[in-house]
Amino acid sequence: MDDRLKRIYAPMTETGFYILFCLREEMHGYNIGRKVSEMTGGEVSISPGTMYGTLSKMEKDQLIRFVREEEKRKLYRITELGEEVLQLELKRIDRLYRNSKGEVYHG
Amino acid sequence: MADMVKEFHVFVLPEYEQEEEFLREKSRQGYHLVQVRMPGIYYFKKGEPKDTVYRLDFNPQTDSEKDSYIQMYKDYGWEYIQDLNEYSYFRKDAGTAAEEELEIFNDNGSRLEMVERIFRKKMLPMTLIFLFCSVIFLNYLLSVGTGIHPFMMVISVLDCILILLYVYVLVRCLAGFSRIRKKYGDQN
Repeated sequence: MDDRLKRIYAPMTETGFYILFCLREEMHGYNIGRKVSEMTGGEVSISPGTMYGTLSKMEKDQLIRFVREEEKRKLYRITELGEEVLQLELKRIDRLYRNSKGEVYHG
Repeated sequence: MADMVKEFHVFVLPEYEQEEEFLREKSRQGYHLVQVRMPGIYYFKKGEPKDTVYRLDFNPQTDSEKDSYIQMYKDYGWEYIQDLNEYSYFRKDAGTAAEEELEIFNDNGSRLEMVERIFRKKMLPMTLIFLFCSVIFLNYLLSVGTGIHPFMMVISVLDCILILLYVYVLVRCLAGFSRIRKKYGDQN
């Protein structure tokens, strides 16, 4: 992973994290939005402009790839590079969580 | 058409939020947008007053991308009206929708990304073309000096007026960009 990607995606925005996380399964934009809303009890909602912009950017950076189109909806899936970025973020979140509970994090 | 109303109104590049508010206000008065044309001619249809939220997105895409782009907005409950100057116009009935459903961006990061797209794809080319034309024009004026033909004199005066108008638009744009960057940038 190059420095440019690290600069952009570490740490990730909440929106970016949820989109990448959801794309471990094949999905299109609106479905991601609905799933995130369900997962978070409505606390996180992703609007279409942000969704479209983030998907385009992640596709360009090869974190996700376009799989197929279904009734004018584009379905995406995470790539290996995307999974790498996601793992880095999950580790960071784990550290934050442990530290917040008073634990010392050893990696 | 008898119930069609035409109105002239100019919003420059970074003033899309003002434009959205203007369109919403017109809807509340019962004038619903049918079409907008350059350089700012709005066609409204008179009807019942309704609270309709308008949103402009700037995300130019290739023709093959357009369908899926519009489809996503449709899935989210937005009606697509048209494109103009590479901005896409959407609207939604404000009636029962929750506040976050009336936004097309959910964080300031993506709002700022749109501002930067407008700046890069519209503002920069516009400024460069202006500078290029101005330099050619000034060069011409300097080269003819006082021996200018009366006809060219008229053309030159018109040119000067155009340049002034353009400078006004550029300054208004720059002020708008600075305002909107501050609005969404400070909180990040």
